Amino acid sequence: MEPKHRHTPSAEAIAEEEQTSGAGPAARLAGRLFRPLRRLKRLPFWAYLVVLGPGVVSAAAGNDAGGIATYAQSGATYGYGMLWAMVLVTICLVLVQEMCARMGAVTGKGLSDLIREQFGASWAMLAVLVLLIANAGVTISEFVGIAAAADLFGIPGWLAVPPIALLVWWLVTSGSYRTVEKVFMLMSLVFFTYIIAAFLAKPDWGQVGTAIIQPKIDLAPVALQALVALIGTTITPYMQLFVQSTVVEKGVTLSDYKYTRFDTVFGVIIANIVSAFIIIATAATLFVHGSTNVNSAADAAKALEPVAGEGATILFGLGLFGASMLAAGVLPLATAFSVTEALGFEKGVNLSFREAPVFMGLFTVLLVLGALVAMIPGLPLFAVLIGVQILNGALLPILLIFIVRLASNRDIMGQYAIGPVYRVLAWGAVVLITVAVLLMFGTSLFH
Amino acid sequence: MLWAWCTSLVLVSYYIKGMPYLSQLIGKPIRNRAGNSVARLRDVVIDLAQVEAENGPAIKGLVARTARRKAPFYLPIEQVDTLTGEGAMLNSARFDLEPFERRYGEMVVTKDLWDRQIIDVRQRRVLRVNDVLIEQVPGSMTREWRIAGVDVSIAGLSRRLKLGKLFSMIRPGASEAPVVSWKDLDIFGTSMVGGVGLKHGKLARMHPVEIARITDAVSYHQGAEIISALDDTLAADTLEEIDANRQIDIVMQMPDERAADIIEEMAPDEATDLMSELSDEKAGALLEEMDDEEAEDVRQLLRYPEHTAGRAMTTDFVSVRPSMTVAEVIDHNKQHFLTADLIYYMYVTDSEESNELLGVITVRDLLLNERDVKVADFMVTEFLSVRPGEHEREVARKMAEYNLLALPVVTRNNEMLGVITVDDALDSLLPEGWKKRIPRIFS
Repeated sequence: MEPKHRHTPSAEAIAEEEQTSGAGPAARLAGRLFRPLRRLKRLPFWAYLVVLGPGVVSAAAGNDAGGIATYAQSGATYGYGMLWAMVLVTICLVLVQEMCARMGAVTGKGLSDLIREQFGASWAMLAVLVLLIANAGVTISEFVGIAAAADLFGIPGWLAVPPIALLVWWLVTSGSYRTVEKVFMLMSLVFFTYIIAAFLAKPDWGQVGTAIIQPKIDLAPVALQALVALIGTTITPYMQLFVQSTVVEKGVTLSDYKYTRFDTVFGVIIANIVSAFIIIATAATLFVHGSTNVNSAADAAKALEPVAGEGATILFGLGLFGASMLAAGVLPLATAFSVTEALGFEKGVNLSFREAPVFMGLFTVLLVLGALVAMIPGLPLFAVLIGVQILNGALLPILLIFIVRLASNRDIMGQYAIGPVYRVLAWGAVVLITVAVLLMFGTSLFH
Repeated sequence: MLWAWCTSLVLVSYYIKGMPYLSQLIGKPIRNRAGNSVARLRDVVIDLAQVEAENGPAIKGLVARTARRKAPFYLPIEQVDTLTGEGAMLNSARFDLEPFERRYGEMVVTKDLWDRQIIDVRQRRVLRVNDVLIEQVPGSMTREWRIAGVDVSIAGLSRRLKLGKLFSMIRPGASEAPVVSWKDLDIFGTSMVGGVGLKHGKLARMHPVEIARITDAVSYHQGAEIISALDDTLAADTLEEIDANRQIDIVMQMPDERAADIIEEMAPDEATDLMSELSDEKAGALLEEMDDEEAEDVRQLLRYPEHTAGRAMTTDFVSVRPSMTVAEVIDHNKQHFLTADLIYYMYVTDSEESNELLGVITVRDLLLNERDVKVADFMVTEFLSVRPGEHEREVARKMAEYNLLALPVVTRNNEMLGVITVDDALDSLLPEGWKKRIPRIFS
């Protein structure tokens, strides 16, 4: 006599259990609500609203020290003059991020992997070098931001930066960064107050409107630099890699892609609206009153006075600190991952220096570099912040060319390669940005 | 880690001068018998049918380009007399100029192998090809060359970037690069023209958990390629070890029939987890394709809510009758001992139909008692059990508290529904973060 191989419980037994344990449709629905993205297909349209959450928050967190400095200076120096550029740059950013997210969902591979596989080792190394330089710059600007924030609270930069750098190093390597990340993210939400400040400053909305629609092309070297900085801080090289990798990491495939696309595009638009409001706020408070130079965090904080009065500096300081800390933890790590991945070295924060020397070394060096530069006495903090963004902008066309070529490639994208209209727009964006960068170099060098 | 690479399989014969790396060959002149350079070497073509060749696939031909014409042309290997780091020499003064076209079933090495990921079956990891080693097939009569292996080291990368000399200055000695020999490596077919289906026979040398870690490191298309190439049982064992999200991505890439075959081989609770993540239509379609018995198991388990004992339990357990002797238990259950997930505890039920749980015995009991002793005499009648509605964490807590490997899941009337084992309980206890691998979030 052989006992049965499988024991299927009788239907009655199960039905009975179902009733007594109260596990019914309601519990199942509740279980579904908190599942990851892919399950949203089964829920109605309001599911889109659930998706909005993460997009909006990361949009707010997207504004870092370099961004704030660039936008604040743009508003103070040129009033509403750069708003038209903001619109164009937003469109470019939407295109670029959509391409990256699309590539991530279709191929399941990260951007630098794709560059390596399609263009070969040499071009991939160029891309890695571009990223390394740009990210080193951004890391420096985060620490400069921390120094500037400390300044606002009366603590000199050289005193505040070293312990903070050590703290970041420790937080990341011990893996506790993720918990504190949320705190920093909350702090950086402060910059939403610029929207309120903009309204409170009662700008001439007619002027704002015309400024958005009417391009005002200023070919002065300083203006072009400000333009390239604007481009560089809005479309950061690192962000494109990050978008694609996040898509890959989350396992988004073609079937879930439309939610991801919506989240990405929406996030971009929200982030840039906040940025635009920073420009409007500083324009309406500083430019209008003739103080056209924003040279320090204190100057930029003044724009928040309509909102917070005397507390404007504290508010701004908190936001700046949070935003800088958020990026300071992520950037060096991200860069170390990218570079070691590309070169084929071991990586992982939980590994020791001996096990993953290049990874840990690179991560540490980036932090140290950032900290050291930020500690240089008498460093014009805001000028450095904006300078780094100019660097970002200048390096951008290289990466963009890779992105557009990859996204148009039928061999890897199949039927999801970008269509002819999209391609025209994408190349148009690349051309515009490249022209801006070249004009800037041209006028600045021959001035 | 670099040390480990350096001391891994090092094939001494490769360091004889003249055994070129592909990066040393590309761009070198191709000379005719008279010694005149007629073209530059641009690429090397392999027949994919040879991919499973033990010592590496033979080179089928060369791709070359002349200064005058833009289009590359193809030279069958039969026309080549020598092939070294200096270039190639043809065996005649004249040669055919056949225009080159990438064909299905062929691999063009700089496009399809360089910079691609390969699986090193010996080291059990995914690596990227920096360079390719070519060797001449030994034997006096042959003029044949084959790909011996690939170089995945940083030395190889610097050679590719033409920084070889610089690199050997910084790290002398490391330029004797370890090569992953062809017999240890597996390539992906998805990058080839037309997406060739490769056999991936070498993957069976690895443990399912190792294969699963490898699918984590590559794109979901490549993951699907790997799983599809394995036989049903190995595919099922591997799929069970893969992250839930990834499982879905992979299953969605396969035809329903194949997916069903694999899911049938998975443990019912794992199969149920996977099914519950799929869309209703897909799950329904797969259940249709599956064997009725297996499909029924899954359907039953699916009726329980997530994170409960009912969902996490398996119906694969061994049950015995109280009247059986030790001898009967051991001799008549061989089939179940082979396939059941858990055999350490066996459950005593009173008959086939009623399934009422009367007691539990262990393998230890069987080994310690005489062969003619009846189960009823030594079975444990006071035992812990759980209801299917209980939360899996509560179940895990009980298991930990009482040091048990498994708990039977019973109805209110003490009927056996299934067994929840300690590995599933452990899974439910681990915080999400622990299970995640290193994020590829920044590459």
